[in-house]
Amino acid sequence: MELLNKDAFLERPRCVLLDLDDTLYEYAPAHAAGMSAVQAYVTGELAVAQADFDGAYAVSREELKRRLGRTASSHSRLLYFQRTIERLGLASQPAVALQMEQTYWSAFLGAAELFDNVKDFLDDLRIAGIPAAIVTDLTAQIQHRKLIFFGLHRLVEWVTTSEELRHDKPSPAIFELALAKMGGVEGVIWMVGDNPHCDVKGARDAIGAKTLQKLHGDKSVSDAADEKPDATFRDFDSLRKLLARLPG
Amino acid sequence: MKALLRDPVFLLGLAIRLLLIAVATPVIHQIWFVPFLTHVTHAGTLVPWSSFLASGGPVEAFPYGLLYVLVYGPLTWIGELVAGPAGGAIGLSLTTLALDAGLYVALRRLSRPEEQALTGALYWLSPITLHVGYWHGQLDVFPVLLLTASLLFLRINRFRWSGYTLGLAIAAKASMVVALPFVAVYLIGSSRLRWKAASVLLPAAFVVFALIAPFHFSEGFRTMVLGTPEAAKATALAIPYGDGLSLFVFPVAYAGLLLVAWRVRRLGFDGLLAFCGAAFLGLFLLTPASPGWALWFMPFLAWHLARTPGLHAYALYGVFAVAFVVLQTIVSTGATLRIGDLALFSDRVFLPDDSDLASGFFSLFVLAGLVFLLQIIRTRVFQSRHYRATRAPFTVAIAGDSGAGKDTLSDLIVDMVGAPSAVELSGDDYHIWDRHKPMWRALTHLNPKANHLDQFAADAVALSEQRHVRRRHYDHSVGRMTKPEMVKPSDWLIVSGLHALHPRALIEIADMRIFLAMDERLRRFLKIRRDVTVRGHPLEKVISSIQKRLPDAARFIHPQREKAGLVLTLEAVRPSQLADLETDPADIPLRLLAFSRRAEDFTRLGEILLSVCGCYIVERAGPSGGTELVIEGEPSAADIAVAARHISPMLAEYLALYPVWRGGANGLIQLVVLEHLSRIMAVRGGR
Repeated sequence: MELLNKDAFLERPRCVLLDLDDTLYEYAPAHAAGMSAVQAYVTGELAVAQADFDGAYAVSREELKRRLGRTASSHSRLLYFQRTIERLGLASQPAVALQMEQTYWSAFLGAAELFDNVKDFLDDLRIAGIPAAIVTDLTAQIQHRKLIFFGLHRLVEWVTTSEELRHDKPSPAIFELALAKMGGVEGVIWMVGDNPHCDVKGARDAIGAKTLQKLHGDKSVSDAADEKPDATFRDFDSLRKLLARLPG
Repeated sequence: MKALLRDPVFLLGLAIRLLLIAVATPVIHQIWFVPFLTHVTHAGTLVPWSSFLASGGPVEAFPYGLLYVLVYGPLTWIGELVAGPAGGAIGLSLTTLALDAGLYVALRRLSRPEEQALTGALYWLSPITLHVGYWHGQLDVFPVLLLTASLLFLRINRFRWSGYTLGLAIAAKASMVVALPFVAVYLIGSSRLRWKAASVLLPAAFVVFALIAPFHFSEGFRTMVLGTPEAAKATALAIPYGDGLSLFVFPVAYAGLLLVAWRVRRLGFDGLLAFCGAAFLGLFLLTPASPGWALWFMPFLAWHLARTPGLHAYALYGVFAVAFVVLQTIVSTGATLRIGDLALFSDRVFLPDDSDLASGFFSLFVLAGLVFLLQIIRTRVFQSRHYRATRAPFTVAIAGDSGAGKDTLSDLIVDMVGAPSAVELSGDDYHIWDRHKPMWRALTHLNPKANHLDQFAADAVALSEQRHVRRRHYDHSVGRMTKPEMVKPSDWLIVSGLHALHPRALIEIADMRIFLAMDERLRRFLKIRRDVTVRGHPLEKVISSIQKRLPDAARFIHPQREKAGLVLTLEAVRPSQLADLETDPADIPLRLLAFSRRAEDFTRLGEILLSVCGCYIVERAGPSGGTELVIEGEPSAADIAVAARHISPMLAEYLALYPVWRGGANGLIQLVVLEHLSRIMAVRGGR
């Protein structure tokens, strides 16, 4: 763990906000498993060539992101797959789109694994009486499914998804809503996330949070000064140690 | 690789090893291995044994085959090229280090996730591994790495790869064959793995043959490798019986261990590791072993110790390791220590030739080792959950009304556990009369008096006690009983029938008791549709038949529900669909109601169904303190497979190698049964 701004960590936080995707578990292998399952379904059941599917999917995804902007539904796999099917000339096919979405998420969850020590860290927060809240983009339904799948729903007290608001992170509203749900929080707030722009800059600008960036693989700290976190870490065990040595 | 470089235990062990490589040159590197390996390049041949002997090299210099030359050669040759024999020795040690690091990684992966760090540390920082590899300078890490890789492949069901690497291990060092019989028992003793035994053993045999046979023509190879005096050590410890007779201790002990393994039969993967560890440890303790042989048991000992919490085990390990190092320092060659210009020679220099002292440490070492040996077999085999859970066939009893889906459920369970592991006993085979006999006008099949229930129960009890039975089979196509045929017991006994939970004996032997209670409207719809639409019977006659059986169903079938731990009910989500007999049953969405008498049974199952399968779940209190889970959804077989993996990873060793998961309501039933099974197994085998 690297404390880039030691002054930010002089006392324990009053609450901890946590991003979900790629912060508490590694997104890439899960996404790859999901896409692989959908590709197998499409090539096997719909007799669509994989190259055609991949091309239509990429264009559909871009189209929806462009059309919807930074909103929760701009990440919806159901919408991506529906548009992909439409682009493949098969009309909308709700049953197929739903089947593809379920295939994707089922395989995704099957391959998703929490980072080491996440649950221990959340349990430490529980014992210390520090509320933990998930603040995440994407639609509520699948984010809730993920939390239940990982068994995190018993460890975090609050969940705020961008579907509850007009915009994704770094919009300040999502951070403000997360705190409002807790009845407002006075004092130090930690934001734990992987994204320099959305999580680090977003939470600092919106609510003055102390920011802790989760690093893994090739992820690194942003070069932009306003996106630099107060601390970086690779293992949640180091967060546990940091928490343990801070005065209450 | 990055993770390895962030692992403090690995880095500490690495630093110690690099330091030893820098300052200590093992004597046997100097006098045996480096001269032999450099002879390969000087002689320009990959069959160097004869020419090495001809050049006056010692016969014990390199009792290894071509694999060793190819693996240990390159860095030694480079080292020698750069810095002469000293460089060659460093190249040789760096090869050992690379293989050692590979073994560290492989061994960690062989352990449970929560024990990986400790297993790795117990191996990597052990004085025994450091002494053997970098002070005494033995090269045994190579075959041990291959054997560990073979076991890893075996665990992840990569059978051919396991066979190839096992063959490589044995070809590299023949003593690895000690593990082979236990691998064979592990495979052949398990009904779920038996059909894969040839996939491991044949490739292993092929590799050994391919790598050993071609060198038989080399006299030097026959002398140095096949005729190594090391082989005679297996019988060196013998108890004199008089008249020139001796009892060979290790062969007898090894055969005894093998017999115990064969009696246990269903070893399970942990059992396999335990027997391999015990065999290698026994080999070391009951023979005048070379120090390098300690590496053969070290991975298994580290694996065992990481699972044995408590200071006493680690204290004993400390005694064992210290006694080993002191003993070997006294009796074995060591290394030349170079610090600057100072060269210290350790070969039996630090301690005088004091046989009492050496024997004292030897006795201490053997004592501690024997304690470990017995402990491994006792705790990892006989006290293991797998052992306790697999001593008798697991018996499932499925009762329910006619047409409720008993045969389907029985087949779904067979899909999960695998046909070779299951034997099905159907109540239909115990009807007293053939279909056309007049007594059926007086009695329905639902009446216990119309069935040989005593024989049904007796046969089930016999199969549950692993005895063969002879039973007739009811041939539905002609409505007659066949001649009796032999039925063999297996790991799973699935007893299904109208009265499977009626005889007291059946209730008592059943580990899992399931009652199928299909919604009556749905049952009628399916039965009428089948008999009228498919079989062409008149509607009135079919309805009359159903009506006639209702009183017996209420009297004899439905009360069995109270005996079941799990009650499964299928019902139509929209009952109005059932009014039209033309409706295709495939178009009727179904809802599964699972009732368990244990109040907390369904929490995790509900969460998995909700999150993985996208099902709609309602959990509610059922009658008599039980819990009922209402499940709606149409999961695919792939969804069920993912969910099954998360319900209980522990169960994988009891299920088929490749379980068949079904989509839709059948898949949901499989998951509910699996979840129920995991709880029963936990109790049966101990948590």
